[in-house]
Amino acid sequence: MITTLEKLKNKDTAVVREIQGGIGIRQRLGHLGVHPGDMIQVVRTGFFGGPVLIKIHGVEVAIGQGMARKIEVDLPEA
Amino acid sequence: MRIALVGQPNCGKSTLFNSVAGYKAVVSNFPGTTIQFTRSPVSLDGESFELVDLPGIYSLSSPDTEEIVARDYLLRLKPDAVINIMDGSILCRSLELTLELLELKIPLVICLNMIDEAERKGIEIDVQHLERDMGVPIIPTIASRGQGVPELFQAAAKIAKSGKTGKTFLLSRDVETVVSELALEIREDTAQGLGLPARLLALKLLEQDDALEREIREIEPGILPEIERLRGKISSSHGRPSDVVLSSERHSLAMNLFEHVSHIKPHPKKMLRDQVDKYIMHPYWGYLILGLILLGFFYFVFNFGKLIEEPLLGYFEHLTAYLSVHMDQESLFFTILNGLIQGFSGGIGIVLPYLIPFLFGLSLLEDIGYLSRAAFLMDSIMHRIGLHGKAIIPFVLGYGCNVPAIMGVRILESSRDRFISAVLVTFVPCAARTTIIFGLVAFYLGSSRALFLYILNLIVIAAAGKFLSRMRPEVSPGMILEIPSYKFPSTRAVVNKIWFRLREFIIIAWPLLIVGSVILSLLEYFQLSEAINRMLSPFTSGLLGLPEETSITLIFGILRKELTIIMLVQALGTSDFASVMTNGQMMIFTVFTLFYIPCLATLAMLRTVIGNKGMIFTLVFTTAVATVLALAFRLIFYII
Repeated sequence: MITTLEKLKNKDTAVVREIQGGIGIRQRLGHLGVHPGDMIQVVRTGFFGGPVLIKIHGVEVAIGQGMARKIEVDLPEA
Repeated sequence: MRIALVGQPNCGKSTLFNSVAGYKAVVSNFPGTTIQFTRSPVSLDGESFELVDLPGIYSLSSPDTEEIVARDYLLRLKPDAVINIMDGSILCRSLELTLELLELKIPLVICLNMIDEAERKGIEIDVQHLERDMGVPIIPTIASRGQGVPELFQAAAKIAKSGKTGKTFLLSRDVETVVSELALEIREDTAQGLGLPARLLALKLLEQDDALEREIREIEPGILPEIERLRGKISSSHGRPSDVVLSSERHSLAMNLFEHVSHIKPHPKKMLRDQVDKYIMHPYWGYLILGLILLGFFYFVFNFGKLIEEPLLGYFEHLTAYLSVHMDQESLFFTILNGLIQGFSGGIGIVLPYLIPFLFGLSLLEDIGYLSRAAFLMDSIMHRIGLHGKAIIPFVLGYGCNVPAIMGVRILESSRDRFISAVLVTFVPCAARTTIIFGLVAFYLGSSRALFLYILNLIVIAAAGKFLSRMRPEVSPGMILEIPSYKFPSTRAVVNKIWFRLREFIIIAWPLLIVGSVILSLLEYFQLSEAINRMLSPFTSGLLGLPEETSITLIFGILRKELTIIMLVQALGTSDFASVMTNGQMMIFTVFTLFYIPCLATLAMLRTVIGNKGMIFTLVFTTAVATVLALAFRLIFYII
């Protein structure tokens, strides 16, 4: 199922498909290891409009809601 | 010989730097910006060299101007060798920067730091294998314990002398063809002028590096259409923008290297970190813990401060009293001496009681790894005033004293966030302004009015935040923040950090405070207060409707806020303010002092953190806000 990062639930594992938005966002995410094709796991969904906490390549990264909405992910159907 | 330390944020770079440079390091400002780097002469094993610690960078190209400045500095500095510090526990991501650094063709040594943390995570790294793959020496270290550090510098000195550079990693064939095509077409002197090898320049241009593209537009505009064409070629064959193609290529190279040289054992036991984070970052518990930690921090700093400040200032009062008995109080010499003592004691009264415990607490929270977790929790709230989560820390501390709070603004990465937070922090009522609120409003007008002022203050801060973020629109749409693993802070790192930050206050802010005090003493000596009262009277009594005598107290308030109320007693000739001021006047006076020009020590700190322009802006902005609010209150009291 194709969705965006902020819609995932706790412990969901998904693959990054596409990062929408400008080069600035792509570079920032790339620096922290988020590229298309990478596997991510949601550690904590954003609460109160706050950032989503994900695990990627063994690192935990908090991603603000606005940015999470721009990350398109592929969630394997259970 | 010059050696530069380069690494991604949080890799232990500063720990390494401090472990060899210690207290000798000099903090320098990079010309034209507020970015800072530290350098220090170091001698190890009879070799002496200059060690430069650059701010952490994730990559050689970045949307962040500060990272670009760090890169430019690296290129212009032309170090004899680069030590690339890597966090061994996140080897894969760290390798991406290394792949770029190799393209610089500067002798390179890799410092594989935090190998203890990697082991804890179950990552085994075959160092010799990696060394062969990269073609550069790799030294495993644990910088916080000094382990491997001498070997690292020996290797750096050796490689600098030999001038040997590491391997170049080729990308997939079709991309590589395009890169070499561009590298060949760019004039040799263009690349040389920019201090970059042609291949790296070509890579960066294809990656749409803004800063370099601007430079090329100046030096060799003829090549621009060609760059455009080649970018198009890459993106059409891969179906993605060229920057994504190149960064993905580098990413997969790094992944391959990582898989090649490391072995991950399944987790031996459940990580303690996950257990702790379950509560610390919990939607309810997290806020409770954050509140308790901030409250505890606040109480620690201010109870400790009070404990020391009163007896400390008592000594200075004794000294002044003693001098006034034994010297001619009317003499110019005594006046100047008195001013000097006031300024000196004012500085001591901030440094020892407040700054040291504050910096201690902040370094501790920072080094343990709590700050980024606090930022995670506060992000959504701080977003409403145009900032992101981390900014909560300086705000809370501002209630004690604005000086350390402004210093604390440094924990924010972007200069825009630092600017907005620093300006907003000056509105936070510090302990001194609290005495005014309590002494005037709470005492004479009742505590509900005082509470109202605190709420008004928060509203004004939020509104000012909105205004400032409109003024400097955000470049990035949100926060991306790495949540590091918890670490045991090392005593040496904490002490070093406190000393670095403290020294800044001592060298820059304190002298200004002393000079300011002397000037104010001289004003008194030459009996200029009346003249000043008269001069400011159109503003204070004409505009704000306050007694004319209050003008001078506002001037003294710039030196130290608590002086406003002390001087008010002197200026009005009574401590029963209700007999000479109406309720409205007291409210207007307090509102004005709550928001107007911050004290001298704060101004001096502002100047170092956000520069002259920022300081002057704050002066104008705070005065304007204070005037408008005071006027509004005058109007309200006029109506009712």
